[in-house]
Amino acid sequence: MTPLAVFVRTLLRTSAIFIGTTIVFLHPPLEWGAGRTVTVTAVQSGKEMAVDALIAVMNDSDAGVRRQIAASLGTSVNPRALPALRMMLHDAEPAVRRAALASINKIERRVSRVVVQPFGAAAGH
Amino acid sequence: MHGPVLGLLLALLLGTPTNPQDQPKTRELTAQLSAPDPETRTRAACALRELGDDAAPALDALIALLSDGAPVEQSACGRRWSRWNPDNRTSPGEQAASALVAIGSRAVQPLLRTLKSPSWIARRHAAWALGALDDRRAGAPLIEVLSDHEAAVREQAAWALGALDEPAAVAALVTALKDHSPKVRSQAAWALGAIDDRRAVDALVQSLADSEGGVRAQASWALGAIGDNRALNALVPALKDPDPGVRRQAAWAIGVLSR
Repeated sequence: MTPLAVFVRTLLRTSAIFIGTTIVFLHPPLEWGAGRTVTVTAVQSGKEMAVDALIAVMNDSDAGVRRQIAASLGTSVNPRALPALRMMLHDAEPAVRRAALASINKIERRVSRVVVQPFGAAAGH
Repeated sequence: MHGPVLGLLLALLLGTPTNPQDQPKTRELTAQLSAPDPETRTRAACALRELGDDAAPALDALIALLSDGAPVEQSACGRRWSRWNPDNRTSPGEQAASALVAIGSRAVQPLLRTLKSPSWIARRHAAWALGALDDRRAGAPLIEVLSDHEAAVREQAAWALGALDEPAAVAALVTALKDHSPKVRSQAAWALGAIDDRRAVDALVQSLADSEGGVRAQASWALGAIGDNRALNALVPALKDPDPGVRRQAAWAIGVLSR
């Protein structure tokens, strides 16, 4: 294989990952709202509502509550929690910051797994 | 050819040939269980606990000690062995219950009889031991104890039914969510979460409006543990509860349910 061919292939693969990431970010319903029936969609929107409710109280006066909110947003592995979690990285309480960071990592791992796997498989890994 | 030699080696390594000194030791400790000093009684029960199954000859004496609630410093046992005392106190009865659990299934029948004891302290300790022994035979009798007239006994029975993971107890525990003692309500909510049965969801949702913060927190936990999405809507208002413990537990449950 010529170096040029290798270069073009690498370029295609990387851009595929980029395009994939963009698609997932622009259209979260592709993965997270993937309700095939009305019931599943209802459950799904209930979950989205719950994540929004957690985000709404992220400035609770009690540090223990904020720490648990940060952890729970990670448990939900819902990417819509990421902006709120990034704000929580500036919390005055170290435990809250630690929980927020762990949750961000958790959600981002999930996102990258969703994106990379199909393309990796297509490239023959 | 090597059979007998190997057998002898194994017997030396694994076997517990009846040590002639064990019996007198058990007998001596059994005698101490009725010493006038509560600390001596406690220490004897602790020592018997360490003997485990070998303490079986002391079974009756330990059962008799279950009603002994004399407060003793926890350090009497050399280490922290107590479960429910925030004030570092234990009692001979509590340590006797631990020793009975260490004896194992042989203690179950006598403990079941103790659930009918006139002493509420004995009933409470027996309920704890039966939960810790995790023996199915205790299910139905403990459900009856949920309507004991002493709140501390009902509380311990609720805990034991949760520890036993007894699905037959769900209806009785749901009733206990309306008990007039907050400790019983809270323990019943915990047990329903531990048993993890969807039939309890509606009742637990109602407990989110309990007058005691501890009960609301425990109900939130149980709803998260059961993991039924129907509870999500009911949990969201708990994020604004005046009690931080409730808010924390509700946040946990919502995280689990929105996974």
